[in-house]
Amino acid sequence: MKVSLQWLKEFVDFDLSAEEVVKLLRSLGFDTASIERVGAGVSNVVTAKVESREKHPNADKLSLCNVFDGTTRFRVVCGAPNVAAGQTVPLARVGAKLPGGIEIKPATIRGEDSQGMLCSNRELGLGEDHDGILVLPEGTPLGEDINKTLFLNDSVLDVEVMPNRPDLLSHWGVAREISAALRKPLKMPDASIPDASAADLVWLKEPSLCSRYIGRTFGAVKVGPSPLWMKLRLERCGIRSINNLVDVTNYVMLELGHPLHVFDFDSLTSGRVTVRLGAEGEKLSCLDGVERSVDGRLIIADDARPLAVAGVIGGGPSSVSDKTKNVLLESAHFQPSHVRATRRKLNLVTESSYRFERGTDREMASVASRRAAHLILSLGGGKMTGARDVQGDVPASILVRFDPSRVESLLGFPISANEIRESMERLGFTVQSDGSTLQLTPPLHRGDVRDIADVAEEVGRLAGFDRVPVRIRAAAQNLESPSAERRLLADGRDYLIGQGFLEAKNYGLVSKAAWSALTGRVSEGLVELDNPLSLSGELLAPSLLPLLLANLQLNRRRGTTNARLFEVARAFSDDKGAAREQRLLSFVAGGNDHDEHWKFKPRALEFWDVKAWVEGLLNSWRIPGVRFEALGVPPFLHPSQARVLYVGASPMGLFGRLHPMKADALDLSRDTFVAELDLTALTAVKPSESGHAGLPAYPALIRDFSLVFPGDVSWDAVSAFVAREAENAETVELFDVYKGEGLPPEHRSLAFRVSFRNPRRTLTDAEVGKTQEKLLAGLRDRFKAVLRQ
Amino acid sequence: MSESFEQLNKYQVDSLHETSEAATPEALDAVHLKYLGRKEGLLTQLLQTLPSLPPDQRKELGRKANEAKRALESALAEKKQSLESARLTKTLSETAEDLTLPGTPLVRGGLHPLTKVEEDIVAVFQRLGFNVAEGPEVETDDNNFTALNHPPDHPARDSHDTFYLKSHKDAAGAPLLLRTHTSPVQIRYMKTHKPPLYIVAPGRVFRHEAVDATHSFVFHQVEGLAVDEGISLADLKGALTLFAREMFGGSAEVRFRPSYFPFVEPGIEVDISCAFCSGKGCRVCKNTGWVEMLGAGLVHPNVLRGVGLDPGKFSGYAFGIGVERVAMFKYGVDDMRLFYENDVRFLRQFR
Repeated sequence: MKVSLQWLKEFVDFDLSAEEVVKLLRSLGFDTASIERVGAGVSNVVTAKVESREKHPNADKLSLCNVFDGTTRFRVVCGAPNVAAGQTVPLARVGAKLPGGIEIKPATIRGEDSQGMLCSNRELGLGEDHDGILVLPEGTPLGEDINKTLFLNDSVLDVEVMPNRPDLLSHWGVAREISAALRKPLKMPDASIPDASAADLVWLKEPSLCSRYIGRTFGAVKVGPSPLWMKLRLERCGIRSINNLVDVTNYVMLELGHPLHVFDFDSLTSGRVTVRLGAEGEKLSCLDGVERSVDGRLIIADDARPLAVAGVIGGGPSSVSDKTKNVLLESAHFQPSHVRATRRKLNLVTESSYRFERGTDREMASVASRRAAHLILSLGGGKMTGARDVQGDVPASILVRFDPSRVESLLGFPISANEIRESMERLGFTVQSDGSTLQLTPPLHRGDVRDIADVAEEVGRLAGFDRVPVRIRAAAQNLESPSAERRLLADGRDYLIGQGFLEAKNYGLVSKAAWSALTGRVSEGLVELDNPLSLSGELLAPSLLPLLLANLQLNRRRGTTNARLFEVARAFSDDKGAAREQRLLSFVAGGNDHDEHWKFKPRALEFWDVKAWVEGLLNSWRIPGVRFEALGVPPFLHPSQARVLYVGASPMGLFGRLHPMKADALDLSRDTFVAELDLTALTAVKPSESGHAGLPAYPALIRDFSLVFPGDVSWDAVSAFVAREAENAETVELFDVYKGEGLPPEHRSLAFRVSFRNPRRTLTDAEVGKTQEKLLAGLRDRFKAVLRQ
Repeated sequence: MSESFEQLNKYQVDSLHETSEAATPEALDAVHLKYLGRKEGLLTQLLQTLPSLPPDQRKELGRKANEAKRALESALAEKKQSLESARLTKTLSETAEDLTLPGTPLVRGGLHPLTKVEEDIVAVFQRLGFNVAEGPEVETDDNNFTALNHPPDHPARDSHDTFYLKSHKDAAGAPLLLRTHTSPVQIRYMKTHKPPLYIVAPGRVFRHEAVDATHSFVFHQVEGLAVDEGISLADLKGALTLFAREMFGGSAEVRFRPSYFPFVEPGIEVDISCAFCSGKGCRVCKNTGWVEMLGAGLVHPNVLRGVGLDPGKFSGYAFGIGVERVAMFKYGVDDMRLFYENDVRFLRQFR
């Protein structure tokens, strides 16, 4: 809401600078987005008439003007192309000061003396318009201080009004807050008008949607431009001047906060308006030239057709034009939620709908109607011919009863019942005392106050929240341990950070294109946004990998080729119509194991790195029994360098090398590795017990084995077999894998070291020897393994 | 016989002298060989003559010769150790390298600055005894708005531009949405727990608005909620003063200004004294000495009623701290987009 400081001062007498007003409003709970200064620092500039104009003898583009300020005549050289005899213009006399520190001195321009300067808008600090001198309306008195004529030296504050305080959407409303804060009286603008009535002017068919409708008719109106002061004030507050009648409605709306409307009364098919719901198929051609359906919306109609959408926008055919002779002025109170629903349906926000949907004041409807009538009459716009005030359903008045000590206990500082009472009275509330309780009746413009908490806010606002002391209250009860999921994520982060990973954070949305390019999947199992900001964010990310890979790409393009990133975030998938939300821990690594180094040469990352990280994470979480299988490896991973994690039959994540074709397509290193673990699912797996088994009391016997296996025998199978079958085997460690010369084709040798230990006694060479023999036989039977020669 | 004794004395004096004179382990070995060599050693040979001596001399000379042998052995051992350590010391200083060369490339990673700040914030309130609660990012209209005193068709909803899901709906058939704040966690927690309640709820939230230096359609909040008997604005100011001092230094002050958030009443805008100028006024605080930091207030009676709590008995406070806002202020980051670009050159600065 743009508020002119000069205009405010018409309602409350205060002497504060714009900055001080901003500070005061801020302390009352209202922020100001900006201060715009209008024509500051102008002096000795007056209105004057150009009596004659002739061409400058020595310059084509200059003219010589004789100018009269009502007492003295001046000769002024002027460069503006639009200057003409008969105009009333701002004259900066010798000694005048203009914004930007300019001072006018006597000058000789191309051999001609100039005793002053004629001013443009810009020279007076009124914006950037520099096309020519400012021509004032005819009839402007001569010799008047231009500050008065143009309301200069004003400041316009853009006050941010929250939805709970629509009463501040006017100068009167802001002035009311200032008056309460400064304890200064409020002055009502002149709204005196003669009596009039008209019995059948208004027919209210929807009393629940319109609690009041006041119509006034005026005859013999003269539609024309508004006076300068009205235009200036409207424009300063961001509203374009249209004609004197429309301008009056806007002026009163900015002044008192109540939206009004004028109809060309002669355009109505009947001498009355009906407030009713739009029927099926009914349409209205609106003021902005758009035809809109008004089906089911509250409208103002004549006997034949809709004239206006109640509280939102008027119709084109009934609008005021140059030819208008008779008008109907509407001032009404419409139900806020209906106006909101209407403007949403029409997808149209107007100054009027903005105020009605936030709530207007039923009493103010009457004041605004009279004030507008007063202005129409005093601007010579005709005479009042009739008036009708119809009431709809009037909501019951609100009464707030409360114990003042409860206000004190909410605010947390001592405050007397008297101070509470006095504060509320300053804000226009009626307060009655009933023994130990107070009873408040809010004024109609304060529909937001209905509860003791609201009272506490009002009292606190005026008292100043600086009075609230600092008190430390520790909870220290019902303490809960962190959730298993948060424990996993904290441990997982710690582990990855130790491994050189930096944490990334992404927006969590992906495009369908990026998702299908990576996965080949189009739409199944996805959660889609109805109103994405752009195509790049149509989907709630089903995986963090496309985002992290994009991060790697960005870093690579910016010259960082070796990077390790991880992210912990929610990912989303469709689960039979429900949006399933899982927390994932994902990481990506690309390039070499480290940057160039003087001693340790970097090597390309390998599958074994990503495998180690995944195993490291599972160890740090103490999650046992996770199997790595090829089943279900998605096609964006390398077909033979990737695995899926399983617990039982449930997949818990995956890891591996990015498919080289995807790496190429994404402009990434072919040594790019990814992993994604489902923390939410892993939370459900019972971690192994922590504890220890002491140190071994008896020595271990170490035996090395070097065996040749068929190529399809996995190390996993061999080590599991050894651990299971070899009595007293404590650990099995692989120390060499060999393929090639000296071995049959499709075979490889595995060399491993088994440590044998019995926890209760010392093993003998002989018994370990026996176990060894049995194991070799077992490996031969099970895997066709033979000793390597 | 005295000849043998003289011989022994001489060997003893000479061998100890030669030992102390030996400058290298090799020279020491030569001394060892000369006196104690298995066959040629002078002392060895002397001892070999013992059986041929008369018994009275044999005993005396034997004792003395063995003493001389032990003394020499221990002198040799001692000298050997000192020579070896001298040699090692010399080698060590001769092999000195340029120790300013970079160490093994084991580089630690690091948390995202937003996570660091979020964890710092959460830790402050955990010390006050707050529990950590979390909620989903996909929420119902009811939890995100209606239960938080934003009734349908209320203009307050306009300030939360919302992402809606296309085909996923809640039980009542209303489209699900991405939560616009962490406040729905308040509702979820109050519905499942009885007062006294003290929680912080960190999380990611979404607003349907274009991204620029100071706006992001994704950001992070830490929600706080305390519901108990007798909670007042003073308790809120206490908790937030503690927060401000932990985050921005021990002399930080908190200022309350009235504001409006539908789910609190009174609604409070919380300013924190500017950490850059200690409240004197600078560019960061636009010369006001204060920086707008977060929104807070007392839990609205409608919210309490909605979850079945009697506002006549219980009161509460709630606050929502913008993690990005704190991080930008704390680290002097002036463009929010940097947090989401994930350029490692940015992220590394917070290790």
